Amino acid sequence: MNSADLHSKAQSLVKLRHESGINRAISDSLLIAWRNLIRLSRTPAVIVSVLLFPILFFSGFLLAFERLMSFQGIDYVQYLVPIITLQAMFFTAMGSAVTLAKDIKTGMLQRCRAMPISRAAVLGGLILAYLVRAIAATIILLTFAHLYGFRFQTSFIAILCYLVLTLLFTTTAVAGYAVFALVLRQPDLVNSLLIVPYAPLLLLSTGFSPVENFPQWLQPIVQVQPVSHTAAALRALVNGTELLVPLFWSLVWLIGLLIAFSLIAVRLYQRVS
Amino acid sequence: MTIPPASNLVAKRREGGITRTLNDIALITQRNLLLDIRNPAVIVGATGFPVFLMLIFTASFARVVVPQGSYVDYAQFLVPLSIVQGLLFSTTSIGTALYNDLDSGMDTRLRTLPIARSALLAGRISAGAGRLLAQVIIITLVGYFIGFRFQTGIFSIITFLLLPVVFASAFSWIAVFFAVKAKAAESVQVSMTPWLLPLTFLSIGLVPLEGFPEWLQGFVAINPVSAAAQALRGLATGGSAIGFVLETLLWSVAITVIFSTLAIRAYQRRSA
Repeated sequence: MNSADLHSKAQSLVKLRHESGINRAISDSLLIAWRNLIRLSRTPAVIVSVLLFPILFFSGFLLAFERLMSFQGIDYVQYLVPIITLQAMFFTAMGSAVTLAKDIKTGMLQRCRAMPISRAAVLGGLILAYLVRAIAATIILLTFAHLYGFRFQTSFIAILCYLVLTLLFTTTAVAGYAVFALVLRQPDLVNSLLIVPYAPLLLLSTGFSPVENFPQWLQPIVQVQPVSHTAAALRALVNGTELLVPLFWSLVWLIGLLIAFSLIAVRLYQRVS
Repeated sequence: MTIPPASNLVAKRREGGITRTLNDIALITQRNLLLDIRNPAVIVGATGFPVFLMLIFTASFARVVVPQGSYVDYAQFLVPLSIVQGLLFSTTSIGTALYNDLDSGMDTRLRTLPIARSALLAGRISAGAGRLLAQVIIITLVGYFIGFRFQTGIFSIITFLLLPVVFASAFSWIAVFFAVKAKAAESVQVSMTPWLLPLTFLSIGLVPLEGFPEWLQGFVAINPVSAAAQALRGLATGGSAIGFVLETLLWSVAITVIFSTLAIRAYQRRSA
């Protein structure tokens, strides 16, 4: 076989490989998700942060602010659980960014890029694996909160909706942090800048403290941002209050951002060389 | 000419002696500080976190904690805790830096040299103190921006800047102890954060004592972070600070003595 033959053979093989198609995308994503899960289960730091951090933050905020909040007429256990859930989801997404940055540094991503796998698989696999972690974290947190007296005042369906909305939030957050990691690339840099999106979005929201408590000029920002709407929708699902408006805005934000982040992430991934 | 046997040379080299030890510690400190100065992103990054939290907490909780007061009142209340909290969390990075020295071969190199054996640990702690001081100054300056003011004399201000460094350096020894024991870089953080979080949260730093449930007030009152936060508050605003300053120093000395002993022991037992 001469080199021209070889070349045309290689060309035809390249043509044959499928990088697209929905089945391909799903099976490749599952494979990468499984790899990520094995990796997660072998990192003790992750297990600590999944189990412990949400519980520590929940207890800390609750013990420090429950009394003071009750002067404002707020039952803080019921108020706090949704935002701590979202905080745990932020931690999940931040963990995924570090994982992805390490994959970029070690060349895993280039390896995936060189293989005939779906281009969405790296992002999809990352999201799927971290959704599993998110479910675990949410269940642990809700169980613990139950001990403090937290109760769903609504139906079973509301609990399911609570989980679904939480997972949608996680998906968007993981996609957003994937863009973050793909842009910054250096694990150290990613690690030290993780809190830049997290802290303002989480704390400058109506999740911990109602909007009236913020300075006047900050209130519009606090009110419209996605974490506030999502926390409000989750609170409504817990307490059975007015649901539609916050849920609508939360879905608009989360789905809109998810589409934008996914497109950008896949684009950036394709540029990894 | 006869060459003296190597054992003579080894016997001659002095690894002990107080002057020798101090010189060696100073040398390692200088090395560590140079590394920090040439890589200021580390300090700025580490300071960014407490500054961030301070600004955000002021915005979201001022009206909860001081309903009749202004944001400035809460800033005056919060800056001390932000300093203590920020510094305590950066002890983790001091421990991680030591772990990197142990892991990278720096330690192996030092062990072959005739220098004091405590130099690596003590040099890390004292360079860490330099890092902590830079952080105190940055956090205080940002605090000024949101309305924090010193209402006391120069002597109090100097104590205000140095006390947290002494206090956090004691906790650095804990981080260093965990670093010597650690088998992976992340484990320093994993062994520090789970107890630092409740320690800083459940203190008279974010919220006054009356804000906590009764069963917890006992813990909050004896928590060393409460003592440190109140000492700083006294030093900044005026009022009786001496008692809290002494309490903070007492905690610092106790923690330093216990954990420096443990850390040095663990270091000596660790095979390079």
